[in-house]
Amino acid sequence: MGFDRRAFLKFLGGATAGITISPVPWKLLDDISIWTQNWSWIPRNIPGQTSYVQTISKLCPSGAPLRIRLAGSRAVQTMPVYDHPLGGGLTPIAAAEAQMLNSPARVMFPLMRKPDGAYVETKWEVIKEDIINQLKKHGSKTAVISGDENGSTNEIMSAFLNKLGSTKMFLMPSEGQTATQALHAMGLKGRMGYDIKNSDCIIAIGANILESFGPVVANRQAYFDKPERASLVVASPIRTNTASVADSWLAIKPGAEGVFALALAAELIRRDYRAPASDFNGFAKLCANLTLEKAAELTGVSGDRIKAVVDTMTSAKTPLVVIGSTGAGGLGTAPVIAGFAVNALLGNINKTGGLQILQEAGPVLPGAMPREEMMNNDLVTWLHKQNDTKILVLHEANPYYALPNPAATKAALDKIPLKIAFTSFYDETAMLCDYILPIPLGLERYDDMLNPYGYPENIYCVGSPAQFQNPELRPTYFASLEVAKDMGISLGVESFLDVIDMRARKFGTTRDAMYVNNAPVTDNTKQHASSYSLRPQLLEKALFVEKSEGIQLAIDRKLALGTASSGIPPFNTKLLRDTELSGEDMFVKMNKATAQGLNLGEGDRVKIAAGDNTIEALVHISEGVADQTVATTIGFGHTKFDEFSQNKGANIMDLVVAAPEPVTNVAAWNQVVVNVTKA
Amino acid sequence: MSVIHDFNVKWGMAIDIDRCTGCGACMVACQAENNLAPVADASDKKRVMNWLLVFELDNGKEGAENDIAYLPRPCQQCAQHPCAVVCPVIATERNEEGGIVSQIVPRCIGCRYCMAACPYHARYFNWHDPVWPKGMEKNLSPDVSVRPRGVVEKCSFCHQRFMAAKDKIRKDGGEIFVTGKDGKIHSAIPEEDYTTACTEACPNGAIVFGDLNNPEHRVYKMTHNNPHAFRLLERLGTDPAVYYISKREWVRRQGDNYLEHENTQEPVATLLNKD
Repeated sequence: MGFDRRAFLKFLGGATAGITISPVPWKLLDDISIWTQNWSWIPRNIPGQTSYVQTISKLCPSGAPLRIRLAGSRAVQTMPVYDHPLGGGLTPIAAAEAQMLNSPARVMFPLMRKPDGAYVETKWEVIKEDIINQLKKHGSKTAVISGDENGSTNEIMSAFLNKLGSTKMFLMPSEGQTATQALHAMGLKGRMGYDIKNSDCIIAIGANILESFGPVVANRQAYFDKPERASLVVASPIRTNTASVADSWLAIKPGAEGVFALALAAELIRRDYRAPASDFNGFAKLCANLTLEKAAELTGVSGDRIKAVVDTMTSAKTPLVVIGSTGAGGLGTAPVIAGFAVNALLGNINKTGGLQILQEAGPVLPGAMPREEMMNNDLVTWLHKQNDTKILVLHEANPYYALPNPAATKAALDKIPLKIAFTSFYDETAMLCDYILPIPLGLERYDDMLNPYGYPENIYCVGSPAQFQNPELRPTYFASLEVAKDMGISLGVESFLDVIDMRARKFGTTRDAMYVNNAPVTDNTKQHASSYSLRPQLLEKALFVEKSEGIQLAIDRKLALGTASSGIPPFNTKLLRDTELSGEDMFVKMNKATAQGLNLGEGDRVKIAAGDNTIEALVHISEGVADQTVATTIGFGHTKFDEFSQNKGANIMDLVVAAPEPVTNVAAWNQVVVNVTKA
Repeated sequence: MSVIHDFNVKWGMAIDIDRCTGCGACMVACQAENNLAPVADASDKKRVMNWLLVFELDNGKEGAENDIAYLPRPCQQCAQHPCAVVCPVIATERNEEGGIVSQIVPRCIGCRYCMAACPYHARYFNWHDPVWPKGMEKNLSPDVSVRPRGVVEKCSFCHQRFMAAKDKIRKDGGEIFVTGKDGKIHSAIPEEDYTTACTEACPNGAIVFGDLNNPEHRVYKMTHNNPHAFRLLERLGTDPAVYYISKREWVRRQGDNYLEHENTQEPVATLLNKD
């Protein structure tokens, strides 16, 4: 008997059966599956002692206070602060702010553009020397654009400009600016705030108050954190996030926000409500011409529904109207004046639960531009008209992406010989500049926040750095003070912390006390608002323009998509639904009736054209859009930043062109007619 | 195989859909807390890891009658957990006081049977190794392990925070269970000491977290004897620990596959006992 082939096969068969029954192969399989999971490219957790630093969000427009959790010296996440007037939760930007510290789009060293357009790393000292030389020659022809509306960096920069002989201090367009411009058009000073907390009936016209309008975390707390919620009516061309929890949503035509407000005012006047405006008779006459039938035709909301809204307002104890654009700004002053008029007729100006006109903070540095003046400066109009600016300094601003008609914005920027971007990210505008100077993010620097638009009191908050980056990251204020000092120019302070102290003292406290207490200071000083004009001629010319026939564009704004200065935070791509983005294609929304009229169906690829510009998108049928309207969200179409922002749809501002508002000539861009065709 | 346990403490949520504006802050906070890797192209929803996912609901009507709502969906932490029952290696189990369904990553062999079993699609498979852009690994929280490819993961009700809350009590020499005023055993963790990242992030207060068995907790008060409270796919008998609340009937109807004649107010027990 030998060990022949048959015996061998029997042995193999027996061994296989035996091993299968034994735990050996399964244990080996289990071990292999564990050991093959330990690849080197999978990051390991890094231990670190937990500690917390409280600061403010400078990235999120809500200005929410943040508690930063540190593991050792690393910021790992942001958490909300509850016991704070602006706090109570996070927004999609605030929740991602710690991760933005290490975003692939961060600029980490100073860059200089060579003649061939490529950027090379350089040293701050090299750039500083050139900046100083240029400022000595062209100081009076220097302009600043700031993307941070509420920080005292603006104070330092405008004081510096003043010493150089320039008054060209601009802020990126915002709802707050439109409101200030409207107040000025009415002969009033100050800034607007909305007492949402104490209102029992809120009519939000356009304004996405629970998502992207104003200090939204505070707004949401004010609205939700009470035993009985206020009734909420939203009138906007898109069913915004705010509208999703409203008692009712009225689909108004894009650009009809002001007419809708005027229609409410007209109905109130018919019910004998009055406002103490110096030109009330003229205003009442204008309103008398706006019959319910005409209002229905212009707004898309029936006369009965307009009356029902007025019924809701008049039966409430503390009704409040908040008006704003749904997303892209550029409302113009007329709709805001119309909204003010409704509040005035309701008698809620400077009353609890109503529209607050607050005294705007004055400057603290000698020669600095008052905030109110900055808010009144019309960047869009100036940028396209100017032709003698030699130096442009940008602080956390991305006008090439965010302003209407980016191509024209680029052409205007190209006329300026020297452009310097103080930025944390490789944004679209920075990549047009000659010098890119990296700045620490809000979580890495001392900073402050004054009077976020919409908050019903004056409020001042200070922030501390949670972690430090490399010293190549110089805050704009630091670099500005250094340049001024090297030029022998005194701005009245040695450091930014001195500016914080000066501002704190205006509020009756000190910087040290604010940092020790970790609490903001507030001031309820109202602006006298008893004498004003409602500007009926301006309203008539601006609100009742002949519109071209066609499909109108409506633009939504969601914080999930970040801001023009932040791009889309890496974590936030997952928030985009498959009805908002598919691969590189973004969706535009229209309702079924509109789609049928255009012979379009769900998922169809379309070309949307306005003027010489065209974008492509896919169609999503949604009943949350007014008739004859195509809607999309601002925040797509980035060409810079990183892979999380790029290759996602188109920038809707390519289709938007600003035009001067009649009478005030303020740049406005709330009405865009587009041509939609199948691609 | 998994055994169904009853526990004294049942961590759960009450999510008020009428307060949710769908902003997604909760989704971002969850990713930051639990070390989920960011994804450049997140449009293939079959592949994207979303422990917490906010759905958009639509009542399907046109014109002025149209209405929408938002529904955040974490792991439902079912007491009758279909996922743990099918796991061949006990990588997922509900065996700890508190009732959280665990997910033990090193034990998972990636068979995805649990994913097939979960009716809520709350489980996610790592088809690829998670890619962290260079530098972003510095944001990793030390409390939650980073997962490799080939394993399933899901919402854990921020179990690391539960452990931290228990440690805090133990450090002070306290007991982690107490007898409540109702004579029953409850967790000694104060309500504000253990809360999930999503609950904490929501500025609307739409998500409330606590012990569903403790009459002192808000989740208990919000869900007991509340005709507007419902659970998803309740009639499957999974006994989820996440309750949703909405005054809108059409929203409640979307919580299950109701036939035209069926009533959302009919007690679940009656429906389950039907022949």
